[in-house]
Amino acid sequence: MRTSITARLYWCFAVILISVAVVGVWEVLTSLRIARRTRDSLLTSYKAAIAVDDLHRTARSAQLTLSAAARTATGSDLPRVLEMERQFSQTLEVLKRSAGREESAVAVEKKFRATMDEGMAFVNATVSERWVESGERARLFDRAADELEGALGAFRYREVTAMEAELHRLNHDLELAAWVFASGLSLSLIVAIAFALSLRRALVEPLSELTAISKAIAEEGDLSTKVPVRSDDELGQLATAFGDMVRRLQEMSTESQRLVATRTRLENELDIASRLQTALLPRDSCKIRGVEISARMVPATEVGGDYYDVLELEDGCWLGVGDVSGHGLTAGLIMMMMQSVVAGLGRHAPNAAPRQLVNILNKVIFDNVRSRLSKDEHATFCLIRYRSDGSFTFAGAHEAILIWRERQGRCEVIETPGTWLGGIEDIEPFVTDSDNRLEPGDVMLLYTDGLVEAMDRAGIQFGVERLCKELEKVHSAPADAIRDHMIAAVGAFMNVQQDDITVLVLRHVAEPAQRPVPGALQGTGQVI
Amino acid sequence: MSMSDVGIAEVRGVALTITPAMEEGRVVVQLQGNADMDGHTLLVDFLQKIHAHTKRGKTTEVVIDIRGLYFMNSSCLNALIRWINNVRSMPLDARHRITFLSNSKLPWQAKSLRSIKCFADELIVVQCAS
Repeated sequence: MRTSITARLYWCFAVILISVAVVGVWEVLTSLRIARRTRDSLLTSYKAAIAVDDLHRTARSAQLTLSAAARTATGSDLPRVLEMERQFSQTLEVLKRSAGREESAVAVEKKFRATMDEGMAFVNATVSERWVESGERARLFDRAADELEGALGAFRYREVTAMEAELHRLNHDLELAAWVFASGLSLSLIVAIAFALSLRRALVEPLSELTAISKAIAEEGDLSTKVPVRSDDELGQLATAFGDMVRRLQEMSTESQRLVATRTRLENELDIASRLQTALLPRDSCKIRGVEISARMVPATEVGGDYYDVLELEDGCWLGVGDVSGHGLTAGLIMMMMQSVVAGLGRHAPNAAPRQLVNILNKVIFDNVRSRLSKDEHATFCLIRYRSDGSFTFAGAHEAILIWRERQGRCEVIETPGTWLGGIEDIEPFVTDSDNRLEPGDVMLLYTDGLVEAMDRAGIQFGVERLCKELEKVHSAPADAIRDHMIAAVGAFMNVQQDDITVLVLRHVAEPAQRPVPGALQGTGQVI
Repeated sequence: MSMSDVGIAEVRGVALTITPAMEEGRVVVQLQGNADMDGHTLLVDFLQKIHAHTKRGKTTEVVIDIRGLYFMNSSCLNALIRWINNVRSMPLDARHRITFLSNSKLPWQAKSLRSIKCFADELIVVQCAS
């Protein structure tokens, strides 16, 4: 497996750091060593040179003292000469102990001894007035002193030469150290550049490739581009992950297109259902002899299953109101079935008992929904046969019927017993006809649960009681106005409309010479 | 044995809470809150689990306590009817009684239960309490 980029970076840094550290440390240690060595050497040479100068001065003094002693032919200065000899010897001992100088020091000592001996012999000969010997001794003394001078001079020269050599060596070592340092740094720099170039190829080129692919996706939406994976290091992993992401984007794009197509199809279906829902509704207002009718359905966002209808007859009308459970196309279709069946049956048998039509409708709905559509929706439904004299008969279970009794000045709530359509095949045992009557001025209000179950922000329902109160406020208004008032009232009350809202208002209008029919029912079955 | 032992635990939706319990061969299901569109799927799934449990036998009665249920929309009522029809379709000796506990202060319950009872008059009992 190829070394990862991270590892290569670490190696690069490590090599550079180590190179610089090694070179730096070597430079420092070498410089210290050279300085220390040079210091010690120069110091020793300097001290030696100084010592040699001391020897020279001492020897010179001794020589002069001996010469003076010889001239004066006295030995009074001899103690001084001895002292000088002692000093000379002391200094010489130091030089002897200095490395590499013992031989020269020994040579100087010999010469000095010889000089002192000759000097002493010269003085002795002079003091003893052995003039021939004195002359000879003087000559030997001078010669010995010259040789000592020469030895000391050579010694001194050697020390100076040693210092010069040491300085020369120092210069050479410093130059070498500088070259090594420069070479080490240059090598580190070359290694760093080589690594940088290597990393550039490893990093920049793949990243540039990924950038180009990203641009193609962003600007042209081209998700078909293949992402090449050229290595198995971190960038290779990035390329692999990038490729996975592009593939996933492509899948999501395909899925999104499919969902858009599905949504478009569903919207079209809902549009059809919405049109179906409203296409078969009666006109908002109807003119039927002896009655003022007005109705409206306010659909919710999603297609619901509210049903209402008014079928005009010679002596009144059929009124139907109901609500299919659920929402959507199925609810709309079932509502259409109800409308078709009731419209057909109502026209075919205008004087049939409502319960008969409700039972037939139930059979049709049960068969169509359960057997043919393989669904299980049910529907509330109430069918009213209204007659122009104000009497009416109703059957089927739905919301309660509200009646504003004009004469009594109160709202009456009439329950609609029975059961719902579509639950079981035969509901005949549970469906009954109920009779009632409207007096002139009475107002009947039919509605669906979307009205009374509308909730405000606190979750409180509009309710039948509130509906009665609203009816009480506007009971004397035209049917259109009552209808609109109810819709406005629930609109102002509710937070969000969750269900279709249907309102049907019927006012019994007194016909000329209309009298109550003896034996007719009023209210909840009380004979008037 | 509790309902969680048979894999039926309490479910909590946005507005609907369904709490099962087992009492001497009876299954008691308490519905509280609002059974609206948010709770429809929860209710459907829950009733399927209840039906699967009762199909295994040994259940004599299922009590549906809706005294704390403020509202139930038509879709949730439909889910209830579907479940009742499933019980009706069971063999005679396997069918159990269905008892509804309702709240007289919520008029929709009495109205709806009157209609629902018609679908399985022989199985359904409605008890009303305040």
